[in-house]
Amino acid sequence: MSLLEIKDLKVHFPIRRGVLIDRTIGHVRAVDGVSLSITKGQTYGLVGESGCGKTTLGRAVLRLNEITEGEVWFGGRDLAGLDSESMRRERANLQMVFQDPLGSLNPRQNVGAILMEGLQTHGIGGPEEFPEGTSAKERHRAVEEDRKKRVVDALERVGLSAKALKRYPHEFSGGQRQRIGIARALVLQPDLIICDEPVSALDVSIQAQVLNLLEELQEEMGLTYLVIAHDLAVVRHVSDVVGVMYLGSLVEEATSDELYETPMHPYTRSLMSAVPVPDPTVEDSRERILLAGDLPSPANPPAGCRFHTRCPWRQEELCDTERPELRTLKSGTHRVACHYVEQILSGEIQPSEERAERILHGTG
Amino acid sequence: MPTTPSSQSDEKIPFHQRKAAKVDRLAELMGDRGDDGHGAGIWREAFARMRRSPMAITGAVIVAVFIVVALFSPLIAPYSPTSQAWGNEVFPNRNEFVGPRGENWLGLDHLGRDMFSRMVIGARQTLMVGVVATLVGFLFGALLGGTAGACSVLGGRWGRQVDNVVMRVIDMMLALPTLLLAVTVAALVGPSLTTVMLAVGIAQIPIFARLLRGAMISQGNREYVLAAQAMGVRKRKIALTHILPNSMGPVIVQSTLTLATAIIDAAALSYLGLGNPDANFPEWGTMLSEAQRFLSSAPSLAVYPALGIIITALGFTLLGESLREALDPKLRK
Amino acid sequence: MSSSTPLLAVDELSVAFHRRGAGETRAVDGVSFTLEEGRVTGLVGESGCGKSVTSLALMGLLPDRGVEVGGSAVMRLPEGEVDLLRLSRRRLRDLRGSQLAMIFQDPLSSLNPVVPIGRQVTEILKRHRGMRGSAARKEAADLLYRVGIPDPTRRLNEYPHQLSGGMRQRALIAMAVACKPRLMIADEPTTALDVTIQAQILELLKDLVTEEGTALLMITHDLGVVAGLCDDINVLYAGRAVETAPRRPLFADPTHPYTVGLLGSVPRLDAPRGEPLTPVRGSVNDNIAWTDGCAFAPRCDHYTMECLQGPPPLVRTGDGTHIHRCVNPIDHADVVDQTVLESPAVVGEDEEERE
Repeated sequence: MSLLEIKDLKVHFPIRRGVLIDRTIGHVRAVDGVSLSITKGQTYGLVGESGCGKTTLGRAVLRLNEITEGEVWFGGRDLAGLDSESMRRERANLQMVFQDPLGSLNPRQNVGAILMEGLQTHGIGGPEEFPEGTSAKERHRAVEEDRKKRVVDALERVGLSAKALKRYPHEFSGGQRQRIGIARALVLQPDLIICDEPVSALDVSIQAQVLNLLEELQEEMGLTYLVIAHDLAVVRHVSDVVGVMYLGSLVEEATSDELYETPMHPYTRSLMSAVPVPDPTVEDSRERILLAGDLPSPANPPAGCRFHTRCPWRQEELCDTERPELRTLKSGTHRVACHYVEQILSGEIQPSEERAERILHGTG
Repeated sequence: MPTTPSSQSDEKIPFHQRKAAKVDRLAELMGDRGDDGHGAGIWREAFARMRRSPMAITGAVIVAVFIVVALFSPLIAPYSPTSQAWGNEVFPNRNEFVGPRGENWLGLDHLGRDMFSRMVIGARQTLMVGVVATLVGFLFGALLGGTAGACSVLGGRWGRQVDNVVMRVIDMMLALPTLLLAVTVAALVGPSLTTVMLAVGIAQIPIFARLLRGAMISQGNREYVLAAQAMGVRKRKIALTHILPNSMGPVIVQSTLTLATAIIDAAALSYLGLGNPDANFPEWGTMLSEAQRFLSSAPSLAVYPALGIIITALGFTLLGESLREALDPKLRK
Repeated sequence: MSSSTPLLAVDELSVAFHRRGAGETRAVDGVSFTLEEGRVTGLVGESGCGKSVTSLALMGLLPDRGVEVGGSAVMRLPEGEVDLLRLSRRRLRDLRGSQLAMIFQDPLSSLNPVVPIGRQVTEILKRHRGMRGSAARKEAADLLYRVGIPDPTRRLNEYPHQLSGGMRQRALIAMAVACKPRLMIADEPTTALDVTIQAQILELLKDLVTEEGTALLMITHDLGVVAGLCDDINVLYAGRAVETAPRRPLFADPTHPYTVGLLGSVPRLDAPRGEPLTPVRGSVNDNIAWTDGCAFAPRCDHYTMECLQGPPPLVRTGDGTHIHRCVNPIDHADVVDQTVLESPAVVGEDEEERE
């Protein structure tokens, strides 16, 4: 059962110039037609390099960025069509964990206030009904007590104690701060948590702690995650399904294991070959495709396949004229946006050394 | 170093005791560094840091002395500041003045009034000018800047237009020199201490407004604001509980610095004759302007109020600068 | 190895910062390693382990006030041996750029934003190689081409902000190699870059080392990068090396619990999904002073009372190139013959003879 379904989502940022009157002179196509669906209780991993639009996509789901076009179906409602007040209420069910653990916590609020804010905002806490004749004061106290219980419960779930309540964000280490950020999302008991680069600002050993924590919480509470990250190894580790983004669109989507075993899109293949593996034996023997050049500007994306300017498998026909659709392959779960994916897979089309910076063929 | 169990005794001591021993020892070694975090907010930490800075202590002492003197001036001043009790001992046209002596610690001024009493009572007026002018600038500036900043950060397209209009108005105010503004106000309302305070205060409005707006916009781009939005917190609450408190630091620092400049500016306006027309009235700026006529024969009459202004301004500046330093996020661990 | 002495021998390097009111912080606390021509030595560790401070100390880029540098870093130069830590500022400035070069993490802030790339490269050529005018310009274009910047003559007139992150890092590498330095220090050179760009830069560095015979000191937190690039690896923790080994033994048989923990923390792309991560618990802040015992003990699952009695000595295992600083090392079948060494200085010499 899919919990979140994104249909042909587009987020274009206008480029404005002018002193008093803004004049729109172009658009940055940060997200340009992405469709995906996330199954309840699973983790969807979105991976891509900086500027591919993955963060914008995550924020657009929460409507923190204006959606230009498309639909975001969540719990039977199209979030893109909600008015701002209904959307604000809906945010109790969709939460976000941010990249910068310190920057995403208000330095002037103590942990208690940070965690309490969401409950207060959405009026959560307290018994369903009060017995007849309870005074306003008693009601208030009952609500406060219940909220405090929820806050402490969330803190304990992420491995912190109630002692943290009175302390301020700068008194914690990076990993602990990220735990507070996760607790803030948990306290509202959301259906979906969007994790935007949840570990990239952390030290290696702390990264693993946080990744394990996310997994434990998912098992205990049946959470659904959308994990957005640039690190393919991290995404593959935590996700059931992985989507690879390049320049505003999804180029490949498959289950985590399938993606690793048979990466099909040329971009996924080069990305995978570029991720370092902490094992000299593997490093010395594997295939390596070094792409030439850099990411083109999303304000002026190349025509046809977005990747054709850097693709070592590029063909004379179609690639630079027609944008490939994301189509489902025979296996049923693997979706790829490439005109020549079958030929590349069968080895009919070989990568051209001239179009890549370098190709090192694997020896293992 | 506690006694270390040798490898032989290890055999005899049960495992769980050995484990307890090593855990205790580790806790002891780690305890050395002390856990200093106990819910200290930013301001409390900044205050603790300021207590270690000689600059801040100097500033605080100067300001404290000034404020105590200003508050209790009627009790401290030995004589009335306006009574010309010794008028028959001073002859300015013959260049005969009276310097410091037993009954008049700082001597007499050109009308035979006790200089020390005038300085002490003057401190009160000077403090009032500084505080009121700063408050005027702070309140109206913060209101304008806060509105513009909040609109710009959270108001979307429409909000950016509001911000644009407010900021252009503020730019126009910034273009007017303080002196010109004060002369205009004085021309409208007539010269008085209120005129001076208003003029100096109004001149500070654009500075406060720009500062707060800038701080709010930079805070508005921080991730915690986005996090609050993602949480579903109402925009008004985000502006008031998240953005504003985090943007006040530079504004508060600025107000201590403004206190110093306001005192100097007020003195300058009084010196130009835009202040209280009652020459009897003791205010350091007015005293300085009175004394200029006798600068060659009795320079001390100008030196006392001038020193008072300089030292007080220095005190507030030192305090403001060290506060800025203590709040600097780069210096925080 | 042709020469018996290494190109750079760092011995017991220590750096302590003194701050008013805060006492002394020992950022580096006795680090020793050697650099050889044509080889890459890696310093790996998490934030606060002292890896960056080590590089700044070697380059003489630490501030004068409030910093105390101890130990020695002897570099073999054509005119004899010098201790980098004892050189005059002036002499060191001459060495930097000609014999020593450094590549930083953030290429944008290491380049002058108002001077075109070309001028920044030719300036180095003028200063250290005495080249002038069109010759310098041609050499600059050659250098940019060598580091993989397409259309170099046009790029010479561009400003740093007009280049992408990867191109800027390439330009910085071009400037670093302009005078064919014998020693290059790269401090997290790819951390700010995307993975595909990182792969390009790492390949470029590898080429420079093999083709020019430069010695490279690679400083990084990324074990994957280390596995692909470095010949010898030093794992640092709280200012000291806790394990030193050539790369294959280090990854195959890590002996220090911290190294093991680090390796268990990294999700591997090639690991089957569902394989759990086994991270180190706690954080870097949970440590004790090295003089009291092993700084890693608070996070270690294997610590015993012995770990808390003074600094653990360096222990050499296997063929003598694998060294760790641990009382209770992780056991591997092939760990035989453990020798406790008297002082770390002996380690360096022994290592030399065996190679």
